[in-house]
Amino acid sequence: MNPKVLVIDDSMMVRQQVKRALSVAGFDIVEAQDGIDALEKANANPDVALVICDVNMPRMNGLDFLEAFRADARFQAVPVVMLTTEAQADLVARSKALGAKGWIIKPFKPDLLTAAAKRLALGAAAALTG
Amino acid sequence: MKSPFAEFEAAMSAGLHEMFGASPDRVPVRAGSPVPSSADVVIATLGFAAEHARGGVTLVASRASMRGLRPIELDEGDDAADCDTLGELANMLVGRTKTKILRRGVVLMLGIPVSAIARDVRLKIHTSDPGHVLYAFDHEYGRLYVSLEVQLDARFTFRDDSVEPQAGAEGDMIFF
Repeated sequence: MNPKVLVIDDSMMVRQQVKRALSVAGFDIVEAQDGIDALEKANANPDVALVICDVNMPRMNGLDFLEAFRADARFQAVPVVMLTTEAQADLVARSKALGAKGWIIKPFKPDLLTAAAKRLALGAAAALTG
Repeated sequence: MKSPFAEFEAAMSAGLHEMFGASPDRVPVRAGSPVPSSADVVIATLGFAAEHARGGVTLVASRASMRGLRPIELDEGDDAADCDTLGELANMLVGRTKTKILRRGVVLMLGIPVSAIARDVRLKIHTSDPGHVLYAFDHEYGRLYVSLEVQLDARFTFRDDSVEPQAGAEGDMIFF
């Protein structure tokens, strides 16, 4: 069974680009279009291995999602990477304080995203052999 | 010395150059419609605000020209795909503009892009308004219009003495 990645972005275009990059690398993708949708999808997929999350989204933004996600004991160890156009240092610091593992400033490079996903979701060994 | 609006314009223009690899043409500002809209167009707008400043970026493209902007992952000719694509382009352009303005000590708070399919679009442009500029960018499939509007009150200043720290540049990956 392939590891699951929860991809959260209000842009269908971004979700499809991430999905395309990670599907080729052997990940199964679960899509969500905002933080509230993502919490529902996480509940339905508690075996999620990695989360890639936008910051500016309607209804619930990425940082508020991260806070709620981390408050659930099932997801405290699941790595979360923020993927956003934002480069503001205090937002990055807040994500780190909330337990994010990384921050990617759009536009992303698919090969680098895939390498990061392998490293975080599959561990260092997979990254070395991947 | 540039006016504050000229600084915003320069930031957005640089962002356009980074995204499309060429400089767009500045369209002469005039009232009425610069957009050829006898057929449907896609329109996306994204607002922003900062202390003593607010504004927005609006993108307009013909349906045909969306072929050159839409990524291959999205289905061709779909309303939702075209709206989403132009909205995300607006998001990325304003994000780049924000990063450049951040270097001048001003933090822009960004809204969420809003997109629509429309017909007979006329952007409201007033020749007396110094805070509005319109660009046209030609690509293989047509023309993309980019409108920037910024309202600055008298108290607005760049704060170069307290530049906001940035985490990185476009494409950077930061791991904790």
